Amino acid sequence: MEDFEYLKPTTTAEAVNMLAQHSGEARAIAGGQSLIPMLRARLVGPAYLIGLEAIPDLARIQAVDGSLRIGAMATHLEVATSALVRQRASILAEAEGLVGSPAVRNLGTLGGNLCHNEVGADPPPPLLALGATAVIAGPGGDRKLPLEQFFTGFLETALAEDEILAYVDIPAQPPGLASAYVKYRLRAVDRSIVGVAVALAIEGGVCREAKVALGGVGPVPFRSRGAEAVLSGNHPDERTIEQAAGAAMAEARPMSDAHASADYRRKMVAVFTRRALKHALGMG
Amino acid sequence: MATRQQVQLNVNGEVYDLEVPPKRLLLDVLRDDLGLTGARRGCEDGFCGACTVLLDGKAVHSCSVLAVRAAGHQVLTIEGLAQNGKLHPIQEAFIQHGAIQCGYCTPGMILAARALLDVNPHPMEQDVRWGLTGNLCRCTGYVKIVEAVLAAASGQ
Amino acid sequence: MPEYKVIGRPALRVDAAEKATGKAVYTQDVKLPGLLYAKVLRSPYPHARILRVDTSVAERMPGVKAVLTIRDVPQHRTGLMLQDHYIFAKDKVRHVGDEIAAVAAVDEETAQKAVEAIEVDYEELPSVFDVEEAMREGAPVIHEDLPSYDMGPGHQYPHTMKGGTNICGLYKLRKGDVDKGFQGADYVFEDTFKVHTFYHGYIEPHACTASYDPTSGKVTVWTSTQRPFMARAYLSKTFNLPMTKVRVVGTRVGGGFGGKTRPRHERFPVALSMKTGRPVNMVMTRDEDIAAYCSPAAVVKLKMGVKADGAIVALAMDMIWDTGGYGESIHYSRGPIEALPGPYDIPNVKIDSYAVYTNKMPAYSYRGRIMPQPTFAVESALDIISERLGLDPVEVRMKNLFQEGSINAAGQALHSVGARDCLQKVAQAIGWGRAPGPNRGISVVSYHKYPPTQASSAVVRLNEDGTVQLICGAPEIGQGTQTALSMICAEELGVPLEDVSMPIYDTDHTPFEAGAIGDRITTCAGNAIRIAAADARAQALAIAANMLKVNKEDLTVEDGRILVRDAPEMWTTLPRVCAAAHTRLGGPIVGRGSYLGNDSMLEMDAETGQMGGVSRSWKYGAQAAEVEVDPQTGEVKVLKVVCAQDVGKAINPLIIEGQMDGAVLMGLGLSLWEETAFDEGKVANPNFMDYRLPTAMEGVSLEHIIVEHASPDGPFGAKGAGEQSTVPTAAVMANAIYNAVGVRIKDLPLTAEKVLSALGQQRAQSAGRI
Repeated sequence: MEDFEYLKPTTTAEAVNMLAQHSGEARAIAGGQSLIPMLRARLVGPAYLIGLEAIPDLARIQAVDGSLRIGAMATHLEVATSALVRQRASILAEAEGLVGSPAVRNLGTLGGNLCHNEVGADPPPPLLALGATAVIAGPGGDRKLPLEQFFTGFLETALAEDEILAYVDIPAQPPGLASAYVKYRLRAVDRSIVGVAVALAIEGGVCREAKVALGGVGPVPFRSRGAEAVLSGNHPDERTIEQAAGAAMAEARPMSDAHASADYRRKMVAVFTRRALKHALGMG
Repeated sequence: MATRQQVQLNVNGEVYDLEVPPKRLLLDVLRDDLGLTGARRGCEDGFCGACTVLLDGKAVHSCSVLAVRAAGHQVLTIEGLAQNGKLHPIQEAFIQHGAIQCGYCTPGMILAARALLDVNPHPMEQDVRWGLTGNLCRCTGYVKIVEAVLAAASGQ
Repeated sequence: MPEYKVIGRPALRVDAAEKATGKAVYTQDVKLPGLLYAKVLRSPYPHARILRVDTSVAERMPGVKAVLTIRDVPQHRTGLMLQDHYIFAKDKVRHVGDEIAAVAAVDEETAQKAVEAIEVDYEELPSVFDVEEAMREGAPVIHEDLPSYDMGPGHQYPHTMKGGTNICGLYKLRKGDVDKGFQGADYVFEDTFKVHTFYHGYIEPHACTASYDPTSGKVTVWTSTQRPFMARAYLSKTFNLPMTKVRVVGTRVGGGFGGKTRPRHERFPVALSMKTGRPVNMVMTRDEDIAAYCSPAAVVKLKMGVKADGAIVALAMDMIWDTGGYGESIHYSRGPIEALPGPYDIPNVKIDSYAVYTNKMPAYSYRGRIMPQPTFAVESALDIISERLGLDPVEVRMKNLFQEGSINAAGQALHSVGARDCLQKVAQAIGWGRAPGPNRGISVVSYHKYPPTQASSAVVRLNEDGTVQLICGAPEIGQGTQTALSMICAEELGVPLEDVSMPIYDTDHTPFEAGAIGDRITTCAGNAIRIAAADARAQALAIAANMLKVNKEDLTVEDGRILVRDAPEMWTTLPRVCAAAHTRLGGPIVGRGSYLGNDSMLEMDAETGQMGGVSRSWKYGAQAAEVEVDPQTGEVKVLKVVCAQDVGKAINPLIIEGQMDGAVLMGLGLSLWEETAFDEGKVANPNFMDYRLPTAMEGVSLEHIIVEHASPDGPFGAKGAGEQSTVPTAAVMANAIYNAVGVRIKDLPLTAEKVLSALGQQRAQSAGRI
C-alpha cells in the first residue's frame, strides 16, 4: 500500500473542498470494504484519503418530503435493518441483507457500494426498480441524477473527482406495489450472477407501471425497458411473464468471469426475471 | 510523506496511545504493535475472516479496517473474550463439541459467533450458518462449529 | 473384545483451549530480533529462456539487505520427490510463478518494491498446458535433461522416466489377461473422465522464518509444514548442510491437506538468512499461495468389461497426471499400485499411469492421495454400466467388492476388509431403493484407500512423578494427531490421558517421523508410540517387580497402579516406581519405538506392478448422498450425505467425525464449486472471491457411520481416518446428479453451468428423437 494522508472532514462541504483542493490525488473512503483491498493491491494509490465517517448527516436514514433519503454512509446492515427502509423499500432492505458477509455489511456502506459499481452488486437493481435518484455533492452544491445515469460504465460512475455521493432518494411508491428482489449466485457470499428487482404497480389486476432492473449481466446495472413494456398495461399472467423474461434476456449484455460465462448469465436472466415477477405477484 | 498519526485505540478495555502511519491496518497494529496474535492473517482481502475482531460489538475483518478508522471505537479480540481466566461459553462450547481442528479460523469464528448471538440469542441452524459466512474454515466442514454455536446459545 | 480405558472415547482435544483463546503460536507469530522480510520474483511467462537478470537497482534500494539469484546459491538440482529444480530458475523458467530471485528487506513492502525493480529479459518458448498434448510426440520438451534426474529423499522407489518427452513418471500394473477378459465380457464400457485442478484452501497461507547463525553454521527454520523431517532432508541436501546444521522447529499449522507436504518456499528465507546472517521471514500472500499450490489434474481413460450379472471381468485404465512444471507430484503416477482398480476383485487388469510435465504450476499432493481421481472414473463407470445392464448399482458393487482373503491386483492378500459392511450401512441409511422425488437423486459409492507406510519413531519418557513425555515428530496440522497419539500412549502405559504430554516437534529433539501424509500418522507413528510405551511399561514393571519382590510377569497396570495379579493387597504406583527409577533403581525410564511396516513397493516388479502389498491397513468406505437439481439453473443442492469409514479401530470417534465432516465438504467443494482456473498457464482466480471455497452456508450436516474392522497391523487395530472421506465425493455427486435429472458429466467440476448445459443437450436430443 502506498502512503497517504488520512483526512477526516466533519461536513460534506468540507469533504468536497478537500477533494477539490487535492484534485487528482485524493479519494473518498466510505466503509473501505472494496477500497482497502484495492489499496493493498496497489490498484489505486491516492496521496490523500478522505474518510467520510465523521459526517453525521451522511449516515442518516430519513423520510424527506414524502421520499426516503438514505445517506451514502449508512452501512448495509443499517439499511437492511432500518424499519423505515423495510416499510418503504422492502426490496432494498432484502438486497442489502444479501451483500457479502456480516463483516462486509457491518462496515460497508450503500454509497461505497454504488460508487464502486462492481458487476453483480446487490443494491442497484432494487434502487433502480424503485426509481431512486442520486444526490451528489460538489463544489457548486448538490445535483440530482437519476440513479440509472449514475452508472456510466464498467466500474465507472458519473461522479467527478471533486464530488461525493451524498444520498440516495427513493420516491414514495404507488399503493398496491408488488415488488421482489431475487439473487442468483454460486455461494451465499458471492456477488450475483444475476440480480433481478421488479416493482409493479398493480391496479385491478392490471400492471399499470412496471420497473424491472437487472444487475450482474452487463457492465452496469440497468432497467429492462423491453420487459417493462411487455408488462405495462397488461394482466401479468404466465404468458406475459414469459415474454417479459425473454425481453429482459434480450437486453442483457453479460460478460464472462470466474463465476459464470456470458451465455449462462444470459440464460439466467430469463429464469430469474420470471422468478422475480412470480415472487412479486405471489405466484409462487 | 509517510506522516504518522496519533491514534487512541481501546482494545479489550485497555487504552493504547499509538503513533501509526495512516495506511496501517488494524490487523497489523493488533498483531505487530500490541502482540495480539489471535487475530490471524489469512487472505488480507477481507474474505476469509481469520482476522475477525469486534468493533463496537460488530464483527469486522481487521485486514480491511485502517487503524485510524478504529480510533475511538471499542475493539474486542479473542484475547479479551475470556473473563478472569474463565472461558466464554462460546469458547467452552467450541472445545466441548470438537469444533476446533487446526485452530487458525477459530478466534475469528468465535468472535463472529459472539456478535451473532449478541443480536440473535436464539438462532436457528440457518441463522448460524448465515451469520458465519464471513469466516472460512477448511477443516471442520462447519458441522461441529454450527453445533457448538447452537449449544452455546441454548446454554448447554 | 479388549476393554480400553482411554482409546475409543470422544476425548476432548489436548490443543483445543490454546486455540480457542488465540494463544496458539503459528509460524507467522514467531518474531525474532532483527527480522527481515522476504519476497520472491516470479516468472510472468509459462516457458521462457532467461537471457539476463539485473538486480543492481533493487540492491541499491534503501532497506534492501540482500538480493539473490541462481548466481548466489549452490547450483545443483534439488527436489523432495524428483531432483529437477534449482534454488532459483537457471537458464529457463517452466511455469508462471517459477522463482527467479528473492529479496530480503526491512519490511515486506520494501522487499516487494525491490522485487519489482529487478529486470529480467526473457525469450519466450513454446508452451504446453494440456496434459494429453504434453504427452504427444513433438510437444515442447520442458525438461531437456530428463531422464538423468535423481530421485529426491521423499521418493526412494523404482521409477521410470522417459527422456526426450515430458513423461516424468510411469507405473504399470498387470494382472491376468485383459484382452481375454474383454472377449469374455457381456458388455464393455469405454470412456474418458477428467478431473480438474483445485486448491488446498488451508486458511493459514505458507509461511516460514529461517535464522542462520554464521558462528555455528546452523540454520533454524520455523515453517508451516506437514513433514518437518522432509523439510530438514530437503534443506540439508539443497544447501549442502549436514542434518545437524538444519533444525526445523514446530509451531501450530493452520491446515495442510497435502499442500504443505513438500518443502518449497523454505529455501528462500534460508538462502537469504545465510546471506545476511539475520533471521528472514516469508509469508505467502493469498494470491501467491493460490497460484503456487494445487492438486494434480488427471485424465482417466477407462475400459471395463462385465458379465451380464454385473461381475467385472476386465479393467484397463490409463491415468495421466499433470504434474506441472516440476515433478513434486510424480508419486501420483504410482496410481496403479496405490489406487488399483478400486476395492474390487477383478481377474484381469492392465493399468498404465503417467506423470507428465506441463507449463503450469507444479502440482502437489491433495487430501485423498491419488484416490479421488480414479475413483471418480471407476465409480461413475459402475453406475453407467449398471444402468445399461438393468442392474442395481449397489448390488453390482456388493458382488465385486473385496472380502476377507481377496487378492488385490498387485498380488496382496487382504484382511480385515470392511468394504461390504460400509456399503450396506450407507445404503440403508440413505434409504437406497426409495424414489426420491422429482429432480432429486440418490447415489451410493464404494472406495478404498491405504495409509502409506513410512518410517516413524518415538520416545516415551517417564518423569519422576510418573507423568509422561511423549516425544514424537508427528506434526499436528489440525487433524488431531497430538490427542490421538497421546491416547495411544496412555492406553498402552495404563495411565490417564491427562498424564501424557506431547510437545510440538523439533527435529533437534524428536526422533524421525516421516510426516502427516495420506492418513499415515495414526498407523505409523501410532505403532512406534505403542512400541515405545510398551518398552517403558516393561521397564517400569521390572523396577516394580524388584520393589515388590515378585516376578514382573505377575504384574499388571491399572489406573496408574501396579498390581500383583492374584495378590491385590500387594501394589505400588507408577509415580513411586518412577521416583525409585530416578534415585535408586535402574535409572530413568525411557521407552523407544521404531516402526517401518512392510512396504514392499521397493521390491515391486516394474513391468507388472506385482509386489507383496503397500500396507496391511487397507481401509474401506462408502458414501451416499441425496441431491436436488434445479432444472432451470443446473444448481445442485446437497440435501443429505451419509459417510461410512472403516477405520479399523476408532481411537477418538469425536475427532474422526470431525475428519469426516471436513473431508466431505472438501469433496463437495471440489465437485461443485472449486476450480483453479488457468489462462495460458497463469492462474485466473487467485483469491477467495473467485476461488470458491465453501462457506458455512454451503456446508451440510452429515450422518457419520464408523465401521471397525481391526487391522492386523495398526495400533489397537486402527487404520487412520483423516483423508478418506474426500475420496468418493465427486463420484457420489456425479452419480446423484445423473440419478436426479439423467445427465452424466464426466469432467469435473460439476458446476451449475455444466449441469444446465448437459440438460440442454439432453432436451435437444430427446426433441430430436421425437
